[in-house]
Amino acid sequence: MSSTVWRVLSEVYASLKGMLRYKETLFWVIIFPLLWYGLMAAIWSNPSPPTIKVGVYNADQLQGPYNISEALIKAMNSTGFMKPIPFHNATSLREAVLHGKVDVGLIVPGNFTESLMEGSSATLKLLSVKESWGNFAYSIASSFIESFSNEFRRRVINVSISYIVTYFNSTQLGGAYPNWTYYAIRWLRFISDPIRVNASVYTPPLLATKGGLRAYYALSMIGVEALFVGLFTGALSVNEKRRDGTLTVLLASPMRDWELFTSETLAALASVGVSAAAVAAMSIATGAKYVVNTESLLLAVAFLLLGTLFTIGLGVILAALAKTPEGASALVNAIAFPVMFIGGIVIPYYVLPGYLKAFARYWPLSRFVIASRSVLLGLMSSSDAASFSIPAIIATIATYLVGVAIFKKLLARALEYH
Amino acid sequence: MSGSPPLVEAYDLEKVYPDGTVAVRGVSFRAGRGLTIFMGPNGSGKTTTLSITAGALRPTSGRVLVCGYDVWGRDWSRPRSCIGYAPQAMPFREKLSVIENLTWYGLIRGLPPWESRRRARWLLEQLGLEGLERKKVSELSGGQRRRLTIAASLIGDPEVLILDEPTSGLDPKARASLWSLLRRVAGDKAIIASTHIPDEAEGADYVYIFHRGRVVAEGAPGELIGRYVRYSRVIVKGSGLEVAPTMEWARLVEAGWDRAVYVTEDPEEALPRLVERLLKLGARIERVEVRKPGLAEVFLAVTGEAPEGGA
Repeated sequence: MSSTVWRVLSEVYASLKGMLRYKETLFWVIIFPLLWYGLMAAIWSNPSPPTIKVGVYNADQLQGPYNISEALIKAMNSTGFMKPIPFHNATSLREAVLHGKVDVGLIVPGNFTESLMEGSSATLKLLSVKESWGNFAYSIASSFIESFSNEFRRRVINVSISYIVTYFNSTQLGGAYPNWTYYAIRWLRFISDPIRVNASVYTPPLLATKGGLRAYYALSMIGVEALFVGLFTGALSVNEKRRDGTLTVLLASPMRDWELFTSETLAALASVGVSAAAVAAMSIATGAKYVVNTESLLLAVAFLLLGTLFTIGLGVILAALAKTPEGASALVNAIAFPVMFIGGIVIPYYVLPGYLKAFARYWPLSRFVIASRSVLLGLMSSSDAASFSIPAIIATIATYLVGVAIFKKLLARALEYH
Repeated sequence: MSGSPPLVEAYDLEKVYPDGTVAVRGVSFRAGRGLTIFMGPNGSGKTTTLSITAGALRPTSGRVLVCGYDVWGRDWSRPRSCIGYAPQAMPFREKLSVIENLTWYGLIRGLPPWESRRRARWLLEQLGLEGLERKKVSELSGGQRRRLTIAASLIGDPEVLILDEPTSGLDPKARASLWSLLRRVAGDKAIIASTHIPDEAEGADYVYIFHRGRVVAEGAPGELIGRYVRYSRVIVKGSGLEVAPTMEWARLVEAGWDRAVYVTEDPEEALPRLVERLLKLGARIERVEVRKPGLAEVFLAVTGEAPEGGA
């Protein structure tokens, strides 16, 4: 191999050797993403919805097989996402709601079953605290009660229909108006079920499973590494080497400027690669599931490498704004930390507010992370993911080239004075 | 320059910094195989000239040819492949061990890793650093670090070695030992080194004396001494020497209670007469030293200023 190859690989050698020898580097490249992955997977990789605690004070007087309040509470318990908790009086229930011991409170009045049996409307009382989770719990509980009420109405109407069929047709009136029964039943059926749902149940997509969510967060962590490693590499590529004197010997070596920049780039890619391998291995060991075939794997790797190239280019642009390595590091942190959360990398794109979605949509690294997730979780075909990434690829090429130009300028400046 | 054909030629180098500071002006030199030393006090332009020659600092004007290639021409790699450069504070990567640092230096010079490692081991052995391969550079002593610096500059087997103050921070014994080690390991390479200590420069094949950004004298050490200094220094130590007078055959340059310094062209003749005269004047003499002229005296003669680290 020519000497150019060894010169270009020099930084990869130093970086990988340093990583093994230096605990701090080992922490940031391997331990930090593994910790983050573990944390995110533990918190967010449960696909079942959260349980809503419903405190119930049931004052219904009528006991026995026709007690409708008991049926309501039983149905609530059978949903799996609502847990009724009995209370002995309305006051203690109100206190429990106010102190967050239950998410929502339900008071069943004394004449509840009696009213319904007599054909009169009955009123239930729902208690909740006006805040986001309380509002959510209230919506779920009231929707459930509405569904129960609809089911109750449907059953009452069905009983009415059977009465009409059995008794009305046999009367004189029924003989005189033979079509009346047909229309009355049709009307009642409409009232009982104005809108019907024809459900088709499919096998859930990978993302809706625990394994899929773990894979999702593993790819997020690789994205975070690409963000930080790339930005720091770019931002410190000249500043830090100038400070510690390494740049002087590099400038006096046969390395050309493009060899130096390629060497830095390869070292960053190697770091991200090591990090990605560690996270991927841990995610598979903890049950993450990927759609793995040669095409999806190659595309995902290519997307993440492109994402790193983008951040390296951006890092060098930041280096031009800072006079010292400390200044460059501060700039990188000021950008990387918010972007990690608002750029759709750690926090899923679809839960971001609209204005941040717009940013995440056009931030090239996010686009690459979304594309790599999409191919490895089977959410997009390879060609769709590639088309989705085209704007990010264009932005990456432009940013990297600007980075190269700035790097050359910084080297030229370093050659002018020590 | 030394007798061999030049491997390094520099013409009319000038370096003016953006703030207007002139670091060097009109510096020309040539260096062939053997040891060429740039001698001068700190701030005289030695480091700037070495940096320009090594290709680490762009000159404002002038030209440097190394192994026949223009260091600042279009072909960047060729002249630099010919150079092994060690700045005064050689940067070593703290995260890497001694052998890994040398391997890295080999890689940046284009050597394959196995060749870098082989050569690193050989150099460590030659420089008396065997057994330290796995140590961190921060764990080495000052002298070991200096020897490692020489190893790093030699790893690519360059024809030209450029060393900025290679003995800086070492005691006189260690300095002498390092120079002889360097001569032995470097073989017949062209070595250009800087020092501010005249005694060290006396071991060179050729010397350039720097003063205020210019070369003020050049030549082989003996030739320089012969050209610029014709006197010896006589140092008298004792007490009551403040009475020492200037005499026709020995000029007084310094007089104090316990020390008097004379310069004379003929110390053998002057010494007995000088002692006799001082004793007559009531001075008490404990010791008399005759110092032959060296590069410190050359520097004094050329610049009118005493050199740093001179006798």
